[in-house]
Amino acid sequence: MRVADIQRFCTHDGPGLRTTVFFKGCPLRCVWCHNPETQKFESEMMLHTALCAGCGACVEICPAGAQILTQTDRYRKVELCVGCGACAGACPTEACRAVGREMTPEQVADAVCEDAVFYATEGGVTLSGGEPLCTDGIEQLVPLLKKRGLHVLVETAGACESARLARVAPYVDEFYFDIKHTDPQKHRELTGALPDAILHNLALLDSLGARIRLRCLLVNGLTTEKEHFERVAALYHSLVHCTGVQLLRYHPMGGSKAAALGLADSGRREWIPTEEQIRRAAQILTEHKVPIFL
Amino acid sequence: MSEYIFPSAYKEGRPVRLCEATRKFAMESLQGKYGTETALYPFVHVDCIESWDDLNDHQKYTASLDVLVRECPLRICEGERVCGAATLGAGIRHQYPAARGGRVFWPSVSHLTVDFGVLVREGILGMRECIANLPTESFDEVAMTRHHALLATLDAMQVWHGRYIEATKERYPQLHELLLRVPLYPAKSFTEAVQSLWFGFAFLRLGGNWPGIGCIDRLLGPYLKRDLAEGKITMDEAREVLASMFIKGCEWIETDTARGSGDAQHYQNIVLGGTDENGCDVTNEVSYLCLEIVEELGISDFPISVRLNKQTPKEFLRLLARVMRHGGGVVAVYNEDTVYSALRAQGYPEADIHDFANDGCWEVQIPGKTYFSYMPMDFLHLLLQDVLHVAEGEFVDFSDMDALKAAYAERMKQHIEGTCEAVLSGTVPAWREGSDVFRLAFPTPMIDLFEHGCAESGRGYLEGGTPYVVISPHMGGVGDVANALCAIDHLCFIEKRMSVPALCEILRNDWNGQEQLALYAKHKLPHYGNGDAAADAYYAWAVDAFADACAKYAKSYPIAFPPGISTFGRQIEWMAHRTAVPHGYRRGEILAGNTSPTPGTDTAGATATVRSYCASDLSRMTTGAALDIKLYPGTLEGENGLCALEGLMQGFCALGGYFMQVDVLDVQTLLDAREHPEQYKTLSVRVSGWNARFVTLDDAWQRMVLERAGYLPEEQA
Repeated sequence: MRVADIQRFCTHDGPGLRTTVFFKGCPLRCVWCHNPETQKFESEMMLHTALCAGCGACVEICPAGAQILTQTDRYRKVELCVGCGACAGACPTEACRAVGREMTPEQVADAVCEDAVFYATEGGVTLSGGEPLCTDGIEQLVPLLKKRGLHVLVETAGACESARLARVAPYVDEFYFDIKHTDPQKHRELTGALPDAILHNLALLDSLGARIRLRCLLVNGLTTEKEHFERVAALYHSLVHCTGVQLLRYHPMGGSKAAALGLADSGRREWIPTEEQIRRAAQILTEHKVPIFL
Repeated sequence: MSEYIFPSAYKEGRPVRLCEATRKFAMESLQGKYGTETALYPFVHVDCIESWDDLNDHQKYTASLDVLVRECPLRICEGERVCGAATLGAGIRHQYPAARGGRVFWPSVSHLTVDFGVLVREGILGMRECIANLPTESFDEVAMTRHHALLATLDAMQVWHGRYIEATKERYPQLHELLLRVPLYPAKSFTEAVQSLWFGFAFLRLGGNWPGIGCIDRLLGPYLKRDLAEGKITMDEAREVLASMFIKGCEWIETDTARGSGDAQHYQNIVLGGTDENGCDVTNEVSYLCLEIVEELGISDFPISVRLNKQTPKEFLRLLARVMRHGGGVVAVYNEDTVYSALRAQGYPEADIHDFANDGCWEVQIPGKTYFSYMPMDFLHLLLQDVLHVAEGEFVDFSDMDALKAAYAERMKQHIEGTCEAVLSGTVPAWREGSDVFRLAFPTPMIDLFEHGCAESGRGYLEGGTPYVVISPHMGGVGDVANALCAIDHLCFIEKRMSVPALCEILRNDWNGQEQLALYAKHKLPHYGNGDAAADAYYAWAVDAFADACAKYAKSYPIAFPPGISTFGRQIEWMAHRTAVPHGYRRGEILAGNTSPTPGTDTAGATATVRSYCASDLSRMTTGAALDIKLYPGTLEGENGLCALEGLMQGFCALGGYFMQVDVLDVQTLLDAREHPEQYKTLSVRVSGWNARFVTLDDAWQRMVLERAGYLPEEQA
């Protein structure tokens, strides 16, 4: 399994104190993605220029000449980078970093269980990404975590193989299921894919009795229309095991990570939703008798 | 809603339960109204005492105490529910507030929790009778002087009490009624018990002493339970009474304090919860009220420690988490299991173990039975200076890590031995000849009244009168010792980049010319505090080596020297004599405090830090080992934030932690407070065993708090 990061003491990824595992790789390309380092399935390099001490160790060691360090410039030529990781090894400050570590399901479970003593009755592990359900080995990992007595939560956009989803579902305590957009065309514009397969997977999960919370990211001008939330409400009512809808606010923090990957800084302040938009979305859902989580 | 808002790191603010008059009283006290007033009247003049030079020290003490209680200003505040005030400013400065020729002549006593239960249960008259009837036939002249001083001190307390009875007669009938009963007689109700306790506490502080109160819920809980059962009081009324005591406890906070290591550090600690000798949890209504009061008012005098165990009620843990979330580091926690193991190993009887409290910060002691002090020692300096000889340039080569560790362990042993022997020869010079009378520094009859053993033995608190005399060697810099050892091992032996002398030469040059290597050591090598077993092993070794070094003297008599770990912020003053360190930091950087990781090296989150801290056998650190955890307010929002704090505390206990202080700090708020101190007068932060208002910390201390909160100055970012 390729793990982008394991974060501890997480309090925003499910009930209680949790450890969140971020997996590499996602089939969607949401324009607002706040974890761009988890889009690619392969390991890749990041350069955090703010941490760079300007020592030149990476320039010396890079076999492809991708690291540029001059009096005025400090960047990485992404097109030249072969992803060998030599720069990360040589860098003394972790300005050059490799994202994507190979781990076995057992190793992931062991790493998660190091904090089991802190989970108390509510906490546990959250599998996130990327799209965790697209990660090879997830079918082994999830039962393993369950076997070790942990509360398992999966954050998914549902963009995965149905058969795999069905195999994993019995071992998952709760799914946080992203609804990117309810208009099929807009869904394609914003994520690069049509929602049909995703909605099929949502219905499948529900039919399997899985506990589901829908999550909607509010992005000013992109996902804030009234009709969208009316359709979300309808979607909620079409499900039997859905506990409600959580409204999330867009934040532009993913932008700096994109920059570190050598991509254009995608963070946009104008996408941050207004309080009024959040209030209105909550109001529409409430009017349609949908329980909401803020 | 209330007109008075007490600062909180939590966005939803603090609850309002107390009446507006009480909240106003709290705001005035916290903003320094009474402290400023107190500072204006520092002491009483005792030049009037005749034949001064013919008096012995105890006679001088009690004669001046008599003047003091007759002449000190009285203070009765509007709205207060309990009466009595320590109104002499020299007390705030840790001095006995009596002066001859305009100068005070004795210091006072701190770092102890006394037994105020004696006063609450027996009253002044009962205490007097008990002391007067003690068998004194075997007392020599010196012991008889102590005996008479105790009786004279009780008389002085009664005189002071009489003045308050008189002063409340006209305008404060309720207080007057209360004072007519207590503390003269045993307390019969909750309100009387609080008044009695407060009066004893204020009396000791009037004499300049800084006592802790200890397990207040064990003392007051039974009174409240009975009153509630009989319908004599409601929880709301009881909260107002107890809040009055907490607010009056802030009467030494001044409006403008000279900046330094912070004010509000008069060691007036309170301990809540825990189990009794039958293994039953004692958490009661008073435990809840104390936390509710600090939850509402954010009062950090008194610093509170909660004794956690497997039976700690869920609701109490939840309330505790709520209080923590407001920030200010007002409440810290002990893991009772580890403390019990430590105290048992030290040989304390079971009955005493269950009573444990602390010295006013967090060093564990048996209250009312212990003389306590501690000896801070910079173990990082010991490594850099006495083992590696970095500053001198006479470097020693070590063939492997074991050889270096052996040399360091030996040096630790010599250091402890030398220090303990010096104390024994200096304090109890005749000890080896069979005497166990200590050298008297100054008289302490006020304290002796509340310390078991003093009256019975005719010896004072500083003269070995208490059953236990403890001077605890405290290891400082353990996080940096661990990181330094780990870095040496990696650079010199595992990676074989250089010899130990070559590394020492680099350190001597303060990493100049080796910046890249310094960055490597600082960022890429493993560090203590990240749950990395390999790095934590150096820490566990250092703790063990220190405990071994203390073993010979840990239980010695008449003074025991059991170990503990602390820096109490001394990492700031230690900066000056430390050289650069093997883990990449240069001379002059603020390094780790207490048992915490080196600032900037812990990147794996709070749970990893707790796991690292618990990687050593902390029950060997008899008097304690404190871990400081800093959290961002944003991570603790909603129900989940409380669950996370509870989980953190439960994990801390399950893994064998000893003492943990959690502070919730918003860097932006602190930076703003630095810019606009006038707007943040009451903003409290946990400094170490104590809390202080942030604005009363000087630059270096503020920087330390900021760096612990994760703030990196621009040049480092």
